[in-house]
Amino acid sequence: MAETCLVTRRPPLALLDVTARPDVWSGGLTALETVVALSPERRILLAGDAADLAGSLDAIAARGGRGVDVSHGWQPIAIDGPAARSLLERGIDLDLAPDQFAPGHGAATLCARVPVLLRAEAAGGYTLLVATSYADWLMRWLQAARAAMTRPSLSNTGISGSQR
Amino acid sequence: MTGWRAPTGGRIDRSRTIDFRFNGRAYTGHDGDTLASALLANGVDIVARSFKYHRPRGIVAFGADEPNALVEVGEGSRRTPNLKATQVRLVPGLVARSQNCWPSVNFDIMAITGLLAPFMPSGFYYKTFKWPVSAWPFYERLIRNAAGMGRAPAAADPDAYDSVHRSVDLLVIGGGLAGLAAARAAAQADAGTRILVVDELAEFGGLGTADTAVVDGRDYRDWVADAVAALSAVPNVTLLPRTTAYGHYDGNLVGLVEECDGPVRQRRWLVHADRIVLATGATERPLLFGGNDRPGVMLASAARLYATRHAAMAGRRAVVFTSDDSGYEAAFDLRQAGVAIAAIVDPRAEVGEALKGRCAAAGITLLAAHRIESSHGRRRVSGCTVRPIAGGQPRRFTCDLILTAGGWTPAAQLFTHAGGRLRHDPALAALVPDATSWAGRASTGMIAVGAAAGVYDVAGCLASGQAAGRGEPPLGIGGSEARSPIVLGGTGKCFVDLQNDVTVADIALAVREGYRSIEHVKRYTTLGMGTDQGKLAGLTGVAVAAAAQGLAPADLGNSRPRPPLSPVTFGALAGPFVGPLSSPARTTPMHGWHEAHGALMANVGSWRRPQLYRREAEGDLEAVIREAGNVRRAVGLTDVSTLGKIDLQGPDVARLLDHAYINGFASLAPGRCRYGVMLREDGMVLDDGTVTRLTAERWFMTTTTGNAERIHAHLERIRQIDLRGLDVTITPVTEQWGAMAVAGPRARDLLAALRPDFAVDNEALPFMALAEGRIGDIAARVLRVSFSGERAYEIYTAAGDALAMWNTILAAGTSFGLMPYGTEAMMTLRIEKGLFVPGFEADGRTLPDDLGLARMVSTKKEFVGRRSLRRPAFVAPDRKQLVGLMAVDRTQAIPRGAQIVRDLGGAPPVAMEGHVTSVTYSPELGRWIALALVAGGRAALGETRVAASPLTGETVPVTLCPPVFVDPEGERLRG
Repeated sequence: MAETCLVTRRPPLALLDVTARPDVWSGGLTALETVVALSPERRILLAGDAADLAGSLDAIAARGGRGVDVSHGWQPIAIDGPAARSLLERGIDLDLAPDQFAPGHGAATLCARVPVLLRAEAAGGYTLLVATSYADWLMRWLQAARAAMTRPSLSNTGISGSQR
Repeated sequence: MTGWRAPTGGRIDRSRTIDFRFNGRAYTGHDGDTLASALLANGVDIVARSFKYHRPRGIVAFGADEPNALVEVGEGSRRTPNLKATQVRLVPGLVARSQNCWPSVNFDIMAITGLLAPFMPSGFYYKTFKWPVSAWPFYERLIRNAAGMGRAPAAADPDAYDSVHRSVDLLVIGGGLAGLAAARAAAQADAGTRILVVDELAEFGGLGTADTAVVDGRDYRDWVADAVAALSAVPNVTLLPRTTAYGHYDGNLVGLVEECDGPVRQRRWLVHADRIVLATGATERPLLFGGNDRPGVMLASAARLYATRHAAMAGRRAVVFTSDDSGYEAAFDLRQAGVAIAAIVDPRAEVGEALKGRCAAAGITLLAAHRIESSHGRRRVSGCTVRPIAGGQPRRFTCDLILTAGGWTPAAQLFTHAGGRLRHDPALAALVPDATSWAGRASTGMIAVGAAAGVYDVAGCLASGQAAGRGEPPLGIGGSEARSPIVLGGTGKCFVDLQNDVTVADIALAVREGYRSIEHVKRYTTLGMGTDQGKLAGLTGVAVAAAAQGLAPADLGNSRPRPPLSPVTFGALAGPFVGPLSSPARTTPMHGWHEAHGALMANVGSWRRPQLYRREAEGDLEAVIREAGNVRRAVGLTDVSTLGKIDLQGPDVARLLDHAYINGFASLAPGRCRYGVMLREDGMVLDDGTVTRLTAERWFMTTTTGNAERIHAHLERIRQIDLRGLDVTITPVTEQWGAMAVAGPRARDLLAALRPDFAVDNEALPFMALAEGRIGDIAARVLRVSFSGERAYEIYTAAGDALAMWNTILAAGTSFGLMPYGTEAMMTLRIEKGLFVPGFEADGRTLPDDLGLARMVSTKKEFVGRRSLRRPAFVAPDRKQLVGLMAVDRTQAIPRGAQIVRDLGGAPPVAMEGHVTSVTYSPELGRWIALALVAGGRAALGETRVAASPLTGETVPVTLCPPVFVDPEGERLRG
C-alpha cells in the first residue's frame, strides 16, 4: 500500500525579511520566531498577524535592524502525513532524514527547481514556503509527484515468496 | 529449433502459464521467465540481426552483458526499442519483435551487406563517404536510413516516471553474496546506519553462486533468504530489487533506475552516499573462434543459469570451450540437467586432475591443449572443428550448442565513472578495481567487493563484503602466478564485439593504420560502443589490440567506462518534468483573470504573460491595434507584476545607486522617481528601470522582467566587493508586490474615480513622482511613470490584493473607455515612443550612446562600465546607432529581424549596415514602423536603405528617421 500525504495550500503568513548585524541579533533584536536563518545577518521571521507585523517592523528598526514585509512573497504549502518526507524527496535534494533535518530546522533551497523555504514542523510534517509566483505550478508538480509515488513493497517483487 | 524446457527444476512457477508474442507468433512461458529464457525454452534460435552485416544472432548472455538479443517491446506509444531480451521480465500479453531486419528476422534483405563485408572494413565510413564532397547529402540520406537500431514510438509516452533524492550512509550496489554480507555487517555494526541495497534482478542473491553452493555452512538460497529477511527487519535498511545503478558522479552521487509496475514505469533515484560498496559481480569472457557469432554459441555461465534458474535448455548437445575451471562446472551442471556434452575443449595444456577425473567419471571427452577453430551451421550451430593448439589433425564434432568460458572480468565499470581506475591484475588475468586510485581524494570513493573485486570463492566474497560493510579497508586478492587472458581466434570471421560487428581483423587493421591507444582503436572500429557498452568485448578487445601490437594487455591499458553504464530512458531522466510541468512557470496574481478573458498567453522568461486579449471575429493584429490605440485615445490597464522589484534601505543607498547607474541619484528627493540605466563592466547596456526614494534612507527599485535576479546579484556584488563597507540592505521583493499600469489620456480621471486617499492632480502627483496611501480599502504605492509615452501610473499593491485592485480599476474604468492591454500592445506603444528593451535593442553589444543616451551619462562620478566607454572603438562614428524606420511605401510591412543594406545592386557579399530590432504596426501613424541599429544611423536620418530578409525573401525600402515617433517633446506623459 502506498503511504499517503496531504498537500494543502495555506493562507499567507505574516513574514518579515529582517537584516541586522550579528551583535544586534544576539542583543535580543526581537522575540519573533525564526522560520529560517538565511545568513548570520538575515532571517525570515514569523509574526502573529499583520498588525503584529507592522509593530514589529517599527520595533526592529528602533533597535538597529531593518525589516521588510514579505508576507505576500512566500506562499505556504503544508505537507503532512506519513509520506510527507518521501514527497519532498521527489523535489528537494537535501538530506531530510529526521536526525539530519529535525523538527524546527529550516533551509532555503530548491524544490522541483523552484525557490522555497523549507521548515520541519514540531508537530510533524513540513511547511514549504514557495516564491508566490511559482505556487500554482509547484502545487501541480507536487500533485503529479504524489501520484507517481506509489511505492512497491517487497511482497510484490517476488523476494519473500520465491526465496524460501 | 533446439532449445527446450526441462520438465522439472528452475525457479519458474509452472502453474502460471504466460502467453506472449514474438515476431507475430504466439508462445507461452511461465511466471519467473525472462523473454530470453522463454524464447530459449520455445526453441527460438534467431532473435535479432547484427548492426552492420545483419547476420542472424541468438542469445549469448544472461543479463546486462547481452550483446545480441535487442528487441522492441510493447506496442504503440508504449513500444520501447533496444531492450535486451535477457532483461525483459515475461508478463502476460507481452509483445516483442526483433530489430534491424526486414521483412523478418529469419529472412532479412539487408543481410546482403554480409556479402559486401570485405569492402566494409573498420573505418569504411570515414574512407568512403568523404568524396566527392558534393555527394554528402546523398550519402547522408543513405546512411541515416541504414543507421540506427529500433524505432522510437511516435506518440507521447502515456506512463509516468518518478524521481527521488535520497541520502544514505551506505549504498550497496549488487545484492549477491558479497553485497548482502556487506549490508548485514554494516547493519550489525550500527543499526542506525542508513543502508540502501540495490540489485538489477527481481531476486536478491546474485548470479555468481551455484544453487548447490554452501554459504557459511548453510544452503545458498537459505542463506540469501535469511539475509534478506534480516535486512528487511532493520528500519534503516531499504532493499530495492529491479534497480540498476547507471552512473557514479562526483560527490558520491549515484544514479539508479528502478523498474516499477503499474502507472509508474520507472523511478530514478539520485542517491548521495557517504560510502559505496560495489558488489556488481563479474562477467564471463567469451573465447574467440571462426563463426563465433552463430546462433547456438553462448557463454557457458549463461547456459547454466538458464538451465538452473528457468529450466530453459539452450540446446541438446554441447561442446564446451573453456580456459577456466568454471566452464567445467557449467558442463557438469548442464549434463545433470539433460544436455549431452559432446566434448570439453580446453586450450590450456594443464588441467587439474580432479577435473579430469570428473570428466572421465561422467564419460565426457576432454581435449586439453585444443581449441575450437570454427563453428558450422547455417542458421544455427550444427557442429564445430577442433584442432590441437600445437597444430595437427582437426576433429569435427556434431553439436547444436557451443559454450565458451574464457574466465571472468569484474563488472566494475561503475568504479571508473567518478575517477577510479582499473588495473590489469596479472594473477587474475583481468581488469580489477584499483583501490589505491582514490588515494588523496576528498571523496571516499567506492570499495569493490566479491567478484567485482576479482574474488571468486564463496568464503572470500563473504569476507570482502563483511570487511567493506564494517568500513574496513579492502582485502587483498590472492594468486601470484602471472598470466594473460586467453582469447584465441580461428578461421573465418571472429567477432570481438557482437553488437557492432567488430572482428579481430577489424582491430588488426586499425592497428596497422596507426591507431595504438585502445581509446583510438575503440572509436575507429566502434568496439564497445553499443548499448551493451562492450561489457562482453572489453578486455577481449584490449587483448586483441595488444596482441596486434606485440604487447601484453596490461601494457596497452584499457578504455575507460563512462556513464551511463546501461541505457537510461528519457522518461526516467525527465521524471515528473513533462508536459506543462516540463519547466517551472511563474504566474502573476491576475493570471486567472487573463485566462478567463481570452488572453493569449506567452512565455516571457519563466513568466506567463498575456500577449493580447482576443475578441470574437478579431485577428491578433487587430487586437493589438485596438488595445494600443485605446491607450493613445482613452485609457488602458496592463499587468506589470513581473517587473523586478528591490527594496533598498540604509544611509548609503544613494552611493550604491550612483555606482550602479550611469546617471546620478544622490540628488533625488524623497517622494520622487528617476529613470536609470545600468551598464556591464564592459560598458554595454545591462538594464534599465526606475528608482523611487520613499524616505531619506528607503528606496524602491524596479528592473526589467527578465533581469530581476541578475540585477539583485549585481547590486549585492557592488555592495560586497566594489564598494565594500556600504551600509545598505538589499531585499528582493518582486514576489511581494502585484503591479498594474494605467495608461492613457484619461488615466488620471480614472485614478481619481477610484477615490484614493491622496491627491492625484498634476501638481500633487507630477510625472516621476510617488504617492502612497489607500485606494478603497487596499494599501497602494503609485508611481507616475510611463512606458507608453502617455500619462500613466504604475499601481503597486501587496500581491494578495492585486487581483482585487485590478477588478476595482476595471469596474471603475468602464465609463472611461478602459481596456486591458497585453505585452504586444505594450511593445507597440514603446516602439512608437522609441524606448529600448534589453534583449532587443540592448542586445549586449550596445553602448549608452548607441541608444541615444549619451546625455544621461554622468561625467561627475564613477560607475560600473564607465572606464570601458572611453575605449577607442566605442567612440567610433560608424557604430550601430538606434534609429527609427518607416517603410517608403506606407502600406508595406517591415520584415522582422531584417538586415539593413544600402541598396540591392552590386555583387555579393552585400555589406550589412545594421539590423531591425523591433517592428510594429503603429495605430498612431497608421503604418508599419520599426526600430533598428544602423551603422552611423544618426548621421543618415532621412536617407533610404533596404530592409532585406533573406529568410522570407522580402526586401522593403525604408527611410531612416528619429526613433521617437510619438510625442517627441513628452508633453503627453507630463501633462
